[in-house]
Amino acid sequence: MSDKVTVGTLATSVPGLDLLLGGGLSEFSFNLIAGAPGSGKTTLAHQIMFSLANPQRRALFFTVLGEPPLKMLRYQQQYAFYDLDKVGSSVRYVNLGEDLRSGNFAGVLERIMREVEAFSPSLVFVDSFRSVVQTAKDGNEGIADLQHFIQELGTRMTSWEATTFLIGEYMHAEAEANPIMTVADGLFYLSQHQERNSVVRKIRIVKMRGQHHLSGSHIFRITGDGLRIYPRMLPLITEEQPETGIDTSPVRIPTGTPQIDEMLHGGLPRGHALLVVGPTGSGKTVFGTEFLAEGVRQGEKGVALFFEKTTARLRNSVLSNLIASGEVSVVSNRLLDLTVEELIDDLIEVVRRTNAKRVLVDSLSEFGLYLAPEFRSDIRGAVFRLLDTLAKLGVTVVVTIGLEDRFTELRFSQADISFLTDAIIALRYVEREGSLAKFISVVKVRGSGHSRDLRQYEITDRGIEIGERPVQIEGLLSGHPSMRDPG
Amino acid sequence: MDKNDNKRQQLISEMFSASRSNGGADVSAWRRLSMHLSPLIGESGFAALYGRAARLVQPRFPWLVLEQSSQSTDLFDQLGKQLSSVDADLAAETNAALLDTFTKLLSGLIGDALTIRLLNSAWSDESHQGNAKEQK
Repeated sequence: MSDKVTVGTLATSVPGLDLLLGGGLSEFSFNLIAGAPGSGKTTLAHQIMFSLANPQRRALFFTVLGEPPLKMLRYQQQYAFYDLDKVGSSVRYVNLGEDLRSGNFAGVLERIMREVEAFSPSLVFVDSFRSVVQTAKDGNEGIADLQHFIQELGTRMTSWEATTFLIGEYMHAEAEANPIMTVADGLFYLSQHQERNSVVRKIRIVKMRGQHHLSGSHIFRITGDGLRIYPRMLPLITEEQPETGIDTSPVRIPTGTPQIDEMLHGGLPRGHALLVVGPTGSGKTVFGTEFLAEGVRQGEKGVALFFEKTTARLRNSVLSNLIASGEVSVVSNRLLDLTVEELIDDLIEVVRRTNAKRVLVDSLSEFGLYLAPEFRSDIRGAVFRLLDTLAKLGVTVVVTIGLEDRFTELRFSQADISFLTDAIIALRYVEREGSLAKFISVVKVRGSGHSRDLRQYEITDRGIEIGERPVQIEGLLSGHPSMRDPG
Repeated sequence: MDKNDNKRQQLISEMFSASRSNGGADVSAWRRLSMHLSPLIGESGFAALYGRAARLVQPRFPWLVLEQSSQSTDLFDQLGKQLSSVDADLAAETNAALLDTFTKLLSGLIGDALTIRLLNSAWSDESHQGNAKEQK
């Protein structure tokens, strides 16, 4: 047994924040929330405050010369987390503006202590601390006094067993926020990154003493519910994997096109991600739709993740009916500055809510059009995280990729995405007897044998219809086919 | 909206009837409100809102002289003096109109729910304390 002190943690209900902090907020810690104006500092502070404050754990919010308190009350109320019942009893606001203007740091400190003693809060917020610091630069009080003030405030708040947050506008937190940086136990840095017209909000835990926090920048969005952070990490395998152990003979599931099941030697192994690659008009979406429809026939719910233009699916009556019946849910997005984290989060939510077993991603070629520009360069990374998450959810996935047909090349995807999938079906056009014929082949199925035939197929009202026998032509892929020599 | 408006007006009238007022010139309601509200929105925030309320009711009560100060105590001293200088009924009417306008402005900014909460805590706490002292 260890005699070391145990640092208690407070679980904030800010989605994603506790994971970033390595479990939650350290109790009695002295923190700085830094960032440029408009980066979400005050909102984060309020969200933390309202999630933690209760009659036993009261919160005191000092407003200084930053945002006028009337406005802050007006706008913060718009968030769902703002609980009016807590104002007064569990949450108290105190304006320090006059004290700072008229007095010195010692006066401000005394005022803070008076209020703290009167209300006995467990959480203390000072917004914005930058204005306190500016007083030091402009006024009579020197930097040395400021340093003493911060040190003193930190010591007193910790002795009072209060978890403290200073909120300050700093464009470059690490360089500017000294001397607070030195004293602070935790530093939250919020920022907005613009590339072309898209803005992506990011949060970084620069420092969190005594806790193994997640480093690096993580995406967040601010909605009517407040901040939602999307930690940049893969899901735990133990949490999601429905079957444990190594699967030697996976269950096969029908794809909805019987001849393809045959070519796959009995259907698609459950949990696999199958890539369907082919040029425009080759029937990728038709195959995907059949895959979902077959799932519904088997009693399995489906999720469709669409990146095609939205009107396209309105013309697909089979799919429209599946969606209308509620058997297939759609995850789509109208925003053009999507981040992978948000997409994955939406997807996990829908798969869990509907208990879906099949997912169609149609199509990855358009995926990049929806991503915020800074993520477009790493489509492969994005697809990897998407497929990894889906694999851990235990669902079977069909992803489609549209690829221009370079007749003589045997390419399966852009950016090496094909390496990330478990199985590949390639569709392609070949000129045959004066017409454009369609050919299908199974390129790979991980851990399983499969047909190596190149078969001709047609798209009809019934879906994909594949010829029974392999074609008797050679050199199809070379662009110069010739009849196979029967001898 | 109407319901909350009524609630707010009801609080104002209750406060008036509960206070052992020296007629309409009683500004204690303002002092109590200021004690609760100034820490929240700052002394200058309170004074600015009061200034706006006074300006809005002034056309109805032209004898009311508008004071400029960022200290609420100064403002209330002045208001008290001005109210004492007129007929008690008129003073009460003016005071009520000022409070109604002030709280309406506040409510427009921070919402009915929070305003009513603030009025409740400002006026009910103090009147209880007042009663307790009286019983001694």
